[in-house]
Amino acid sequence: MRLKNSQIEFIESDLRQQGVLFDDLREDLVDHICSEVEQKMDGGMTFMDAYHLALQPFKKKGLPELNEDTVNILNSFTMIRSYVLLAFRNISRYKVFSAINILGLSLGMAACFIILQYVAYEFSFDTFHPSSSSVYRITDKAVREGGESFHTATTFLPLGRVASETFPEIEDYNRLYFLDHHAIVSYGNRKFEQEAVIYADANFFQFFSYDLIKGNPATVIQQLNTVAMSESAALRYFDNQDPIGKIIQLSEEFNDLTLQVTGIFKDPPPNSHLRPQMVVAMAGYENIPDVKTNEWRWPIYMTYVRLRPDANPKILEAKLPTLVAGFLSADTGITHRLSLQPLEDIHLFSALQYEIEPNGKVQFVLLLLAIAVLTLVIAYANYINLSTARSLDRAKEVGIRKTLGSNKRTLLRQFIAEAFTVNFIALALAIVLVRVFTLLLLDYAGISIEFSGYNDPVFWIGIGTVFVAGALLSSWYPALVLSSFQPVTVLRGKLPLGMGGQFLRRTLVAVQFGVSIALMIASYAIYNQLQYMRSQPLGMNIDNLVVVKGVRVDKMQKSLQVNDPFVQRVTKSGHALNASASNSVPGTWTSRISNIVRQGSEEGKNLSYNLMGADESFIETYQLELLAGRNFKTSTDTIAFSRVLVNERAASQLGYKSWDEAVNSIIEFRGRFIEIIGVVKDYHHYSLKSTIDPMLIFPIGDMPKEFYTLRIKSADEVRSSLALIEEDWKATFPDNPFEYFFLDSSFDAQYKAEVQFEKVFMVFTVLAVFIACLGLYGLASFIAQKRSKEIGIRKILGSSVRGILILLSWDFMKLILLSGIIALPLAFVGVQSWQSQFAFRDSIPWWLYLIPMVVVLVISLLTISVQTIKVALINPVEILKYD
Amino acid sequence: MYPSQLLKGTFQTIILKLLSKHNRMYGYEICQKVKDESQGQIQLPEGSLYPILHKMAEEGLVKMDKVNVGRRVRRYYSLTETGKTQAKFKLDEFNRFILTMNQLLSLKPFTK
Repeated sequence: MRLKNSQIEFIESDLRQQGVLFDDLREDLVDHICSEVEQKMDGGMTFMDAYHLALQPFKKKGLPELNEDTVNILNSFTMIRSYVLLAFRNISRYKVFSAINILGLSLGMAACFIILQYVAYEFSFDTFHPSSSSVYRITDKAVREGGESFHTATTFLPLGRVASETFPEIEDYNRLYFLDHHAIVSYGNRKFEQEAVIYADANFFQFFSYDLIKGNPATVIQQLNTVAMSESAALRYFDNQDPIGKIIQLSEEFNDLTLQVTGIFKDPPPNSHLRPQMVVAMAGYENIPDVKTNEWRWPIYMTYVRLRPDANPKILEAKLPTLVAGFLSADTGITHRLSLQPLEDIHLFSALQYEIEPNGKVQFVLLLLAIAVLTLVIAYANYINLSTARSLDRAKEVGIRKTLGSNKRTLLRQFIAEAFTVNFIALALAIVLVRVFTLLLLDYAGISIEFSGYNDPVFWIGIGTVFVAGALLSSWYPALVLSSFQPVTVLRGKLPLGMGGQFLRRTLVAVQFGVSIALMIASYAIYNQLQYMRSQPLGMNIDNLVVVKGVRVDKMQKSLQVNDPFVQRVTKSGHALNASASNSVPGTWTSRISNIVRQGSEEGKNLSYNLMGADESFIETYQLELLAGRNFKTSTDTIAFSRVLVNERAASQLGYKSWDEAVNSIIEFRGRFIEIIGVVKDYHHYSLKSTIDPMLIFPIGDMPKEFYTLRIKSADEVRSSLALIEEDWKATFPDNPFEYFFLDSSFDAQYKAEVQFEKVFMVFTVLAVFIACLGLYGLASFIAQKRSKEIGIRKILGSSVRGILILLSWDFMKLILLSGIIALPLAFVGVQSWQSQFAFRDSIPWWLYLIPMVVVLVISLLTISVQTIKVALINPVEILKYD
Repeated sequence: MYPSQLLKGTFQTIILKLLSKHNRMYGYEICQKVKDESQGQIQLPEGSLYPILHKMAEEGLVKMDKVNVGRRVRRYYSLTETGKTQAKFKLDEFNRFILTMNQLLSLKPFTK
C-alpha cells in the first residue's frame, strides 16, 4: 500500500525534529523508512507501529549521530553548504527578526565603509612618490624676542643648496615657489587665468614622481624660460596641437615672462598637497639682483630634501640651526628654528602659514573614524542582542537536540554559520549602500575625494577584516549562550527571561542609547555654537558687500595712485553705494607687527598688532563706528604710516585710559613717530572662532591694494550692478580679470570646517539613533511575545492596556535613564573641550542637555508601544487557549 | 547472521558489486537485495549504509539521481566510470584476500 501524504510529512518532520538536519540524508531516510513502513503495513501493522519498528535500526546509533557522521565525511565545501542552507532556512523562518538584524548591520557597515574610504584617502596623500617616506620639507619658525612666533611652510632660497652641500645625509633637494594667485597666461591673442603655477628647480620631475608624458625629466626645465604644463592646461591653450615648442606669455604680480613649452605631464593625482598645473624653470632665478640681496631675508620658498635611507632626520634637524645662524643677520631680533617635516605628514598634520593649500585636520579624520567604529559597535550590539534574545525561542530546539546527544561543536558550528550568513547578506547590502550613498553623503558634507575604492585591494582587505572579525565576534557569544543551555531546565519550560545573557543584553542596550544620547547632545552643541557665532553682531555691516580682487598686471602702475582710479570711477558712476580700497578685508589675513610703544616708553614692546592699510572710505563702506577722533583724509594723511586709526583693543593695549586720551597722541615704531588720529569701535576682522585683536589701520596711500570693497545698492540688483561694475573695472584695468566674491559668504566660509563637522555629526546621530531603535523594536517585540501569556493573565485579572504598557516599558526606561546618566557627563566634557577652541562661545543651559534623553525616551517608548500594544490588545482567550 | 565486525570492511565492496550488476538502485533496495541474495545471512546496517553512500558520492565513485515518487523523493545511486573501475579492483582485491586468508588460516580448499 502507498502511504498518505500526511503520513510522509509526519515522518519527514519527525526525522527533522529528531536531529536529521542534513537534507540529503533526510531524503534518503524518508524514502527508506516509507518503503519499510509500507511493507510492514502490507503485513497488517498500524502506521505508528510500523513506523517505530522501521526507525529502530537507525536508532541503534542515534539519529543526530548518523546526521553528524554523514555531514562529517563530506568535504568542507558540502559541509559548509549544508550549514549555510540550514542558516538560510532559519533566517527565512523569522522574517521580521532577520530583516531588522540585517538592515541594522548593513547600515552600520555601510557607514563604516564610507568613512573608511575617506580616512584611507586622507592618509594616502603624497604616498604616490616611490621615495615619499624619505622626503622632508624644511619649515621655518621665526621667533621674536617676545616669544611670539610665525611658523611657515616656506623658508629661505639658498637653504636647500647650502644644506645639501654641507650634509651628506641629504641625497637631493628641490626648491619651489608657489604662486598664491592666478597668473595671466596669453597664447596668441587669447588670455587665460592660470592657477597652481609654480617655479621649481630643474630636477623637479626627478625629485617628485609627477608623470612626465613629453620631455626628459632630467632636462625638461633646465633652461631659462622653459615651462612644463599639465595635460589639461595644454589642452586649454593649444587644443589638440602639439604643445612642445609653443611660446606663451606669463604675467603675475612680480614677473612678466616669455616661456617655451618643453614638457607635458599628467594632471597630478588629487591626493597630493602639491598639484601644479604649470612648472616654470627657476633657472637663473637665484642670480636676480633683488633676489640675491634678500636671499636670507625672504622665507618664501618651499624646500624639500630627500635623505639617504640610513640618515636620521632627528640628527640632521638638530644640525640645521648652526648652519643657518651664520647667514642670518642677528640684529632683527628674530631667531629661526628650522625643522624637517615628513612629506607624507603634510596633508594631515601641518597647518602652517603659507601652506600651498589649507590642509586636512587629522583630528577631524580620527573623530570620523571613532564615529565609524561607534556606529559599527551599535550595529553589532544590535545583532548580538537580537540573536541572544531569539535564542530563548530556540532554546527548546536546542534542548531537544542536546538530550538527543547532538554535540556542542555541531551546534556552535551551526550558529556561527548562521552569523556568517547574516553578516554576509548584510555585507552585500552594505556594499550596495556604499555605492549609492558615498557620493551623496560626502557631497552633502562638502568633502571631496576621488573614489577608487573598488579597485583598491586595501579597501577589500578592510571590508574582509571587518566582516570576519564582526561575524566571529557577534556569533561567539550568542552561540555560546545557546549551546550551553541546560536541556533539563529548558525542557521543563522554566527558562527565565533573563537567560541568554540578560546582563550583556542590558549593557548593550545601555551602550547603544548612551552613544545615541551623547551624539545628539554633541550635534545640538555644534549646531548651537555655529548659530551663535553666525548671529552675533560683527561691529560692521557685511551685507551687500562685493569684494573685487586687486590688480595682478599693472604695467602703468595705475593702481598705485593715491586717488585710486577704480574707486574714483565707481564712486563717480554711482554703480556702487560705497567703494573702498584696502590690503585686507574681514576674513583675510592682515600682517602683524610688534615694537609698537607709546612715545618715550618701552612698555609692551613685544605685544603685537594687526596691521591693515585702507583708504578713507573704509569706515563708511563697512559702517564701522568711529568712537573718537577723525577719519583719514586722502588729501592730507597719505604719507603712509605716519597717522593711524586704532581699534579699542589697540588703544587699551597701548595703555590709554580713554579714547580721547588716545586721540592725537603719538606712538613709536622703531624710532618712527606715528600719530593716532582716531579710535574705531572693535569689529570682528576674523570669525568668532578667534578673539578681536588690537588693530592699527593706516592710510594705504600709494601702496598695493589687494581688495576693493563695494557696497551694492540692494540684493535684488546684484546682477545688474555687478555687470555695470565690471564695465568700470574693464575701463580702468583692461588687462586684469574681474574676480570678485561676496563678503558675507566669504566671511561665513571661515566656518566651513565647523559646518562640515556639524553635517557629518547630524547624519551619524540620526543613523545611530535609527539603528538603536531598530534593535529596540526587535527586542521589544520579542519580549512582548514571550510575555504574551503573562499579559493575557494580567488582562483577565483586570490590568488595563496602559498598565501593561507601563509594566513592559519600565525595564527599558530604566536602562535608557541609566545610559543617559552615564552619557550626559561624558557629552558635557566633550562639548566643553570642543567649544574651548572658540573665542566666543555660547554656554548651553543645563536643561538642554536633558532634551536628547527625553527625545530618546519618547522615541523608544513609541517603538516599544507599537509592539506591546499589539500584544496587549489581543483577546487573552486567543493566547491562553493553547495552554 | 555474521557478526558485524567480520563484515565491516566489506560493505563498500558489496555495494560496488551490487551497483555494477544492477545499473541504479536506491538505498532501501540495496538493503533488501543484500538480504535476499545472502539468504538473510548478511544485513547491511542502515546506520552505516547511508554515510557510506554519501562518502562514495563524495569520492566520485557513485552518482545520484533524484526521482519523485508521489510525495517523496527517491534517490537512485549508480556507478560512475571511476566507480566501475573501482568495483573491479575491489572484487579482485577481495578475491586475493580470501585466497590469502585460506592459506593463512589453513582452511580447507575452497573447491571440493
